[in-house]
Amino acid sequence: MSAAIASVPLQLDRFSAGYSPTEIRARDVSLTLVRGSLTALVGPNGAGKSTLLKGILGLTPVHAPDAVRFFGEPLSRARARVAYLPQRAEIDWNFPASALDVVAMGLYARIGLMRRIGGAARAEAREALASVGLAGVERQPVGELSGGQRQRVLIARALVQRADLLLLDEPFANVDESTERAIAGILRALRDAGTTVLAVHHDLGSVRANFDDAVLFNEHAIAHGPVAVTLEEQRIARAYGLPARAGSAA
Amino acid sequence: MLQRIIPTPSALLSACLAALLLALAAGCGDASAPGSASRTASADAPKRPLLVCTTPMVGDVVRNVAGSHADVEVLIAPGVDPHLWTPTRTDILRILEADAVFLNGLTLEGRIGDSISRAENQKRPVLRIAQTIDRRELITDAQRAAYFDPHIWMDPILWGRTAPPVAELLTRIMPEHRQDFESNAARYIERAKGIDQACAQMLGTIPNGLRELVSAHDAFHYFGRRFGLEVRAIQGLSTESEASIADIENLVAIISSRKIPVAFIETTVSDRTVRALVEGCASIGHDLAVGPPLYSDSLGPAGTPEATWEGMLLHNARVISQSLGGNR
Amino acid sequence: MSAGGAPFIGANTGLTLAAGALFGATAGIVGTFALARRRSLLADVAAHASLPGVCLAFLAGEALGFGGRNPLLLLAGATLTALLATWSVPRLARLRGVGPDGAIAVSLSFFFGLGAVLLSDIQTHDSGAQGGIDHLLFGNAAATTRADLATMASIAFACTILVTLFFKELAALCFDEQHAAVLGIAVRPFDLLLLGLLVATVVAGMQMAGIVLVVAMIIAPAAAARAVRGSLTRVTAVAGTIGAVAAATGVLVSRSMDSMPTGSAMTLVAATIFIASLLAAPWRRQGSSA
Repeated sequence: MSAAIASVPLQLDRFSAGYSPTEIRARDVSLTLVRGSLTALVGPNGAGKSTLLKGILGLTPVHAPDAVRFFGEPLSRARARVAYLPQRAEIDWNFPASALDVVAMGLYARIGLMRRIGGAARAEAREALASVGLAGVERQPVGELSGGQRQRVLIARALVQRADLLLLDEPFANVDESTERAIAGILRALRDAGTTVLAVHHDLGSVRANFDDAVLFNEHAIAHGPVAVTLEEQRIARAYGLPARAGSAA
Repeated sequence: MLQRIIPTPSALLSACLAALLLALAAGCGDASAPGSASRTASADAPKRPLLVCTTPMVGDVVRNVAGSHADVEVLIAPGVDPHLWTPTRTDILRILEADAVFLNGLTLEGRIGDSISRAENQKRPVLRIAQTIDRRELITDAQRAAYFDPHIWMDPILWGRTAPPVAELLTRIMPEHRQDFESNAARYIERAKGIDQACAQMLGTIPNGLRELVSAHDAFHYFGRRFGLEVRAIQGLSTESEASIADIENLVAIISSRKIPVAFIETTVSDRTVRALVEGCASIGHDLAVGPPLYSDSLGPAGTPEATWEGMLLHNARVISQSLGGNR
Repeated sequence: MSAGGAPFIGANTGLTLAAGALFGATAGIVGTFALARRRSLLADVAAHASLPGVCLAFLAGEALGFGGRNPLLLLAGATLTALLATWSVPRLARLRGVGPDGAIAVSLSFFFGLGAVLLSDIQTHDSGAQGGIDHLLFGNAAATTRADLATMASIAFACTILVTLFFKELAALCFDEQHAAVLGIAVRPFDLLLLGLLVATVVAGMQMAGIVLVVAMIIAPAAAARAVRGSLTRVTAVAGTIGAVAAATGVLVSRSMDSMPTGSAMTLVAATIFIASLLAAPWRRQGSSA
């Protein structure tokens, strides 16, 4: 494995994914993320953004694992370096667990089978909760948290994994403004520390403020590059299937 | 969900398995069908009236009274609990086809449902033979006064008296054989007297302090009354209700205080409760033995001496006598 | 009507009490995860599907000549068909036009129907050894023997050990399956483990609460424990305690009455505790959304 490939956090080479062979939602996607990039995956509703993310992580029934490389390796050998944050709405928040329980779940792989969550792990989880501004809610059931707080808990769970690549599905969906600012700050700090971040995002208006790069996506990767270039009006129109000049914000 | 999808052969597989199970179930049904209803007469005889009986005991009296003048069919196989027996579709058809239907009555056949009333509505003769007995001779349920103990075949004299009403009904169907039926019934009564004497002789040898009969369910009150035994059981008159802990604990207390040596299991009732009784007694230092199985609500398998009502009563009397220290 | 001279807690009450409490605790613990993973109805499928297994085991035991009523054989049969039925549910659900609730309905009624057919077939056997199987429908806790208690204790022990060992993995699976998968937790094996635990609990509970009511003992304590705010460890422990207390109380209640079936008393107590938990934790009535 050459050093050049091993340094590429995520590489897709004509990757496809979907829910059945007749329901392919992401087709022939080729994409390379460089280390320390902060990238938004944008596109219209139903474009297959979440499917792409899940497919990359092997979560969809149909996916092509050979077309994905994490740091030059298949997922099975790079799990420790990859963290995933699913959509908040896909989780059963009535689950009887405290905020600390959920954050500690990020550490399960590291703790290993049949081992208990120790004091060190708990301290680490507490620290992560504090870093997303949730010090003090450790023992509160997740079901009693607000939407923004829940999102922060998930972010904290991803943070404790100390991953080199972070894949987030709609981290800014339905959160209040202060949470959005906090999450954006965390993602920037991660980027500055060398972590690679790819986040599904649906709000074209705030992409520019929160991300450096963007992938414009609608079943295929239409464009990838700095936000200002990628989200040029004509390209957006193409991705969203709108006539040119019909407006840039969806 | 996490692997590439394999176009569901597993769904197919589960369908196949299901089909297999179903086939198996059907197979069992077929295999046992001949055992459940046996005709007594040979096939070459001219068509004779069909008499359908529920329990093997009812079948015994009807067969003896009818002699060779009718075909007798028993619906409830030996070893099957009549309290829990539910007629199958075939059973119902037989009931509706029969020239006469004989059942024990007094709600012994608790789940026979409305097939009997349907037969009655079609003007089929139906005889509940236990209900031909004078009510004053019946034992009532300790808890529900309006409810009579249906286990009357346990008293040979009482059961013998069901033969004349059977003969009467058969005479209505086949008036030409009246004399045969009447003499058969008289012979049945005589036989009952003989059985009664034999039982009384065997049971009479049980020493006085040991004349206690403990069994899984309350089937032996007529037997106990006739032969002077104190009768106790874990479950009530019907096996349909579950034994409660109180039932078991109370019986354990009585058994151990009276030093009763043995509790009997029954061929038609699970032995679980009797085993629980044994353990309860063991815990307070009383050694209770599990007696040999008694025939309570059914007869023995075909081909054994216990396959007749006579054989069943004699078997019961013999093992009870032996287990309780009698010398027979 | 009280017993003449019988102590209130004699050996039989003691046996039932011990077996009941062990069952209740196991049901509460396993139920916490079953409820969290929305497997309540699957537990019901498992319970109803154990009937044909018991019947088949009875027939097999009879055919092989060692009697139909061997309890371990019956448990093995029940486990087999319960696993088969629960295994079939997600597969049926994937078929076009069936869906998850349809799959549960189909599987439950198919297996229970099969059981009913077999049961009515067994009743026509002239084996002279029938009886007892009928009681599995509503349980027969009162007649608990030491052998039953031993079986119950081993199942309870095995389930508790497995839940303790794989607590993290089961929690991750129930809360966020996708995240667990990305972490590298083997989702399918742990899903099967949970299924196995559920089936073991159901089969163990058959003798106690009966096929029809056993699911209530699995779900009610777990649902009541949701009134507790705190970590999953605590909620699980509380569910186990509620299950044990409900079962033990049920045994004592049924002991104090003359003809109260023990299994039904247990489920009634468990349901009462659940209702009380709703009153004690008013915030639960609003429900929470994602």
